[in-house]
This record gives sequence, C-alpha cells and structure tokens, in this order.
Amino acid sequence: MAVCSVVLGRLRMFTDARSLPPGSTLAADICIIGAGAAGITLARALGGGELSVAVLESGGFTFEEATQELYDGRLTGEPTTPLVDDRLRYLGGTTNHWSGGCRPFDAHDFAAWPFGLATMEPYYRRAQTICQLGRYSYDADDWATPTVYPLRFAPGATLKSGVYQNSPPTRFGQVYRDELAKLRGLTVYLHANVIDIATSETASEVTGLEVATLDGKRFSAKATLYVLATGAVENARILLNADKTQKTGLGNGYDKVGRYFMDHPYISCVATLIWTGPPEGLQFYLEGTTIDGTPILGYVTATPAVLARSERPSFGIGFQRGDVPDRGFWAKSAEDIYHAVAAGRMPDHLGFHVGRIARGLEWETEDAYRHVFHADASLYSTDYIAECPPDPASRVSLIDERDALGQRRVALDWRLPRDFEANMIEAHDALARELGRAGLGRLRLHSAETGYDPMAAIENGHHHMGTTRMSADPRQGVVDADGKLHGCANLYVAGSSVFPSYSFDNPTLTVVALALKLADRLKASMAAVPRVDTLAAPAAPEPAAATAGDGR
Amino acid sequence: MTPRRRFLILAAGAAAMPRLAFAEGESAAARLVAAVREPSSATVLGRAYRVRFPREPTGEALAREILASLPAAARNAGPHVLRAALRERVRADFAADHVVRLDGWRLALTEARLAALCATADPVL
Repeated sequence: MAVCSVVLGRLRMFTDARSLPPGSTLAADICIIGAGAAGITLARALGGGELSVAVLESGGFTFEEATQELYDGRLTGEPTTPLVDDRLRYLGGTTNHWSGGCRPFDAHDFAAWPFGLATMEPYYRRAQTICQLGRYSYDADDWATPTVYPLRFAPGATLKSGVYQNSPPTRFGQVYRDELAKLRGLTVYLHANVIDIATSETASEVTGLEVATLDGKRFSAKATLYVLATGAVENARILLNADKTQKTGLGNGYDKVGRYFMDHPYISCVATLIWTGPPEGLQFYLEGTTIDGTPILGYVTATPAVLARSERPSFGIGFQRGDVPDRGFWAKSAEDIYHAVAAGRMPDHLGFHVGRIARGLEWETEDAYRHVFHADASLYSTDYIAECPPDPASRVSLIDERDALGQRRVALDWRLPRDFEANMIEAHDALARELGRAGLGRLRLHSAETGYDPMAAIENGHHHMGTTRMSADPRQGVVDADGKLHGCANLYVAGSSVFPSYSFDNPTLTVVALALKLADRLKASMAAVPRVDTLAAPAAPEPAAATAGDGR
Repeated sequence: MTPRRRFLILAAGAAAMPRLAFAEGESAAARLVAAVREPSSATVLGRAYRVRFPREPTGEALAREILASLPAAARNAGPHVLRAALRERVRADFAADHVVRLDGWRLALTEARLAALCATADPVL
C-alpha cells in the first residue's frame, strides 16, 4: 500500500516500493541509495527546498529477517562479526544499534585525505547537533571537574587523554522519521533494493538504477545525480555487481573497489592496572560518566608528536573497573604465593604483592594505607582499540553465491597488520611507564604466558570502512575529494567506505560530517541544472493519501 | 589461623608503623629493608624476581647498588626520607624505561631489586 500525500505539486512521503506498479520509473533530481546515517543526513540536507530527492531504502521501518538476510556473506580473514549481524538494513540503518560513541578525527588522521581537519571542522560542528551531542569540545581537560578528571601524567609524557562524547544514541530512522515525512520534495521508498546501475556506453555517466523488491517487483529510478550510501560492504558490492559495462565492476578500472577494507580491532582485558593514584580513581574513563549533562568517556592515546615520530598507527586505551577481592582473599592468596615460590614457580597472584609494594611506596599516611587496603576502586582492566594501516589485501570481493534478488554475495577478508600485537604491547608499555612515572599505578600485561591471551579475544569494532577510498588519483582511489566516482560524472559515494585512512575513533560523526559536505557539493552541482518536476511517473493503483505516520 | 597467615597479618600491621630512624652502624641492606612498608609482600615478589633473574647480586652488594642510585643525602637518612628517595628513584626508573617484566607486570628496576633484597634478607619466608 502506497502511503503518500501530495503537497505543492510534489510528493512528500514514505512509499512502500512494493506498492508501485511493475515497470514504473521514478524520477528525481537526486537519488540517494540507502537510508542510514549518511543517507538520512543527505536527505535532510537536500530535501525541503526546490530539489526533488528520492531515497531508496532496502528495508522498512523495522527489522525484517528476509531483508536483513540480503547482507549475508562469507568471512575469510580475521574473525569478525557475521555480515548479516553487523549492519542493520532498515530505515536508520546501523544507527538502529550503534553505541553512540562520537569524536571528530584529529588533524593527523587526515594525513592521507585530500583535505584536512580545517575543511571538516564546520561540518563536524553541524554533525554534533545531528548526533544529539553536547558542546563541541573534545579536549579532555575541557571536561575536567574537581573530582572527575583526566590522568595527570608527568610533564613530557608520551601519552595524553582524549574524550568521546556519547550520543543518546541517535537512532536516525526514529529521530528523523517525521522530519523526512514532511520535507518538501523528498520521497523515501521503502523495500527498494538497487540491483543494477545502468550507465552510458563508456560508463562515464549513470543513466538509471534497476530496483527490485523482495516480492518480485521491478522498477527503475532516474535522476540527475546519484549517491550510493549503503555502508562500506554494500557500497562495494553494488559497484562490483554493476558489471554490465565495466566487466570488473563500475568504477573498478584500477581494481580498487572493495579493497582497503578497514575496521577497528578491539580487545578487552589487555592488562590489569593496580591504581595507586588519588582515591577518586579513573572515573573520567568509566562508562556512565556524565559531565554537564553530556555522557563522556575518556581514553588514553599517544601524543601527536609521538605518533608522528614513531609512524605507528593511532590507538586508544580505555579502562574498566575491576573487582578487588576482600582481605580474606588476599590472605589466602598470599599463602598460595608462598607455596608457589617455595616450589620454584612463579606465583599466580603476584599482583597482590606488586600492589602492596607500589602502594607502600606511593602512600605516606596511615589513613591512606587503610583506604588502599579496603579500597573498592583500585583495580582496573584496560581495553585497546587501534587504527590499522590501509591494506589492499583486506577486502570485500564477490563470490558466486547469490542472494534472493540474484545479486552476488561477498566474501570479507579482513586483515590485521603483522605488528598489531607488538603495537598493542608497545602502547601498554608506554602506559605502564607513564603510570609508574606519575606514581599512579602498576600494569600487568596479559599474554598466553600469564594464562589469558588477549590476542585470542580480538573483536571487530563494527566499523566498516574504506572499500571505495577517496583519492585525487584514480589509480589510488575510487572516488575523488568530493566523493564522486572517478570517471563517472554523476555518481557519488557517501559514508565510511570513502575513508582513505581512519583513526581509532568511532566513524559515525565523520560519516555525518562528510554527508553534510557532500550535500553542499550536490547543491552546488544542481544549481545549474534544470529541475525534475515529476517524482513518480506512474501512480500507485489506489494511492491512499495519508500522513507519513500511517506507514509505521 | 596458620602460623604463616598470622605472620603475614602481623607483618602488614608492623609495616603501618614505620621506624623513625636507623640504628648506628646498621647495614645498607637492613636500612633499605626497613624502609619497605610491606616486607612480606616484598619478599614474595623478590623471590619471584630472583627466579626470573638468578644472576642479580644479592645482600650488601645489591643494597650498595640501590643506595648508590639515590641522592647522597638520602643514603644515610631515616626510613621516611629513604622511602621518599626510593619513590623518586622508582619514578625515574619508569621515566628512563628501566623497567623489569615479571609475570606480565611492568616494575621499576629499583622496586624489583628492593624486593629481591627483602627476599634475601628475610629468614622467615
């Protein structure tokens, strides 16, 4: 059932594509494929004016198993979350289950980009509001209070603190749904899956999209400009499947589409920290901390100077509160240790003694000593998240297996650099040095030798990036600095797939900021182009005028 | 309560009452051990250290090396001043990356050696 209303001669609504007559041709100035963080941001920025904008979303308003299954693929590299589970394929996309961590990239994170932080800064500020965050400040010291503050490392430290802000998290499909329904000139087609991109003979221009629904309908969409905004795996997959003109896939003349796939390797419980610093501990770095009404989360990373000098990828170390056993446990532990040492073995609970020695040196007063002995906040564990250098072998590629719409599925071969573990250890060694130097604690790194190997517990950060990387050079990237597909005049790519490199930061704020930047570019492009007046050529059989809310 | 456990608890209590001054003629090792607030833990840690680094010097030789790394004014000072000097030495060790790895723990060389000294000096454990 189509749900639509006509205002000022233009449709504005959500429309279920399954209700469109087969063979229809949708027309718009701009057609956006995908309604996640990037697609919805573009739609909001482009709609409401003179432009006609069509958004093609594969899913509906809520999760549907059959639609989600279209994501399924094969994993051939590092263990990672199954593709069918990592992203969400309905209005709002993966923001329907994101955790909300936000932070702009640092200036040095843009070293491989065709533009820098200064270009992004105004868009980050606008993205800040869209993601429902607090004031635009990511200097850890700006968030310090008398009792909740970043680590006070010694002068000249190689590490510094940073801070994330946590979005509520903004579920883009829910938060902006009503606005999308009301925006002049904007139509969101639900259950509309792009199955092919038709091009001119030389693939220099997109001439239309072939669209399908899971119940067997086929129709097409024509626009002046097209934007692919379906996530890093699907953006590459759609381009690779569009192989009628360019046999290796659209925009893949230099075999770059799908390559340089990136995600954040994340490991929890890398090390145990015995805290010997002030009693208020590490609250700045713990989940659930709110300052000035904004949820924040601190982390430790290398200073820019150290990163530049070492040429190591950036990383973030976070902290989780650990459980401190009671004194009875400690006494029993001490006996166990005695027997272990007497037998010439390394004791199992050496940390107990390390803590007592370190605290004995750091704490001067009897009260402080008693506090430490009964402390409930002096044991923490660390977690580690890191950037990895872009690797062309880390990639998304097509496999022979096909989905319900006949599209070839993908294999994801996620690669980690060989020095990943060494970098993780080096980062923690630096942390151990700075904590010890500042009198704040002692660190124990876990390993297979200590009985818990963090490397066996690598998770992906659920941040797919990099498969249509940006570069001014078509031989090095898939899209240019504006996100336009190299060699194709009217197809743009939005989202984290265009990142040529990344930070250890969560990508969503950058995705939204880049979408705003792209929206400005598209508006400028359309300024000299005649408007498209008709959005949907054939009407639905029995169009039911209604408010957008009826389709929920 | 086992005798061993009783010792550990008594040792912890004793550590909370640091001595104010050293006896005249007290050895370097004795002065350093007395400056340690947690001798029982230091002993266990020190034994683990000695398992890991069996070629390290022991007794007075080790004590002299530790004292030599401290400011001259602290070498013959009482436990309080000596402990403060040791604390600064430990921090300086970390700053200079003089770090010992022991069962995954990253320890300052001075604190590990101090623990080793306690292990060789303690006849109880």
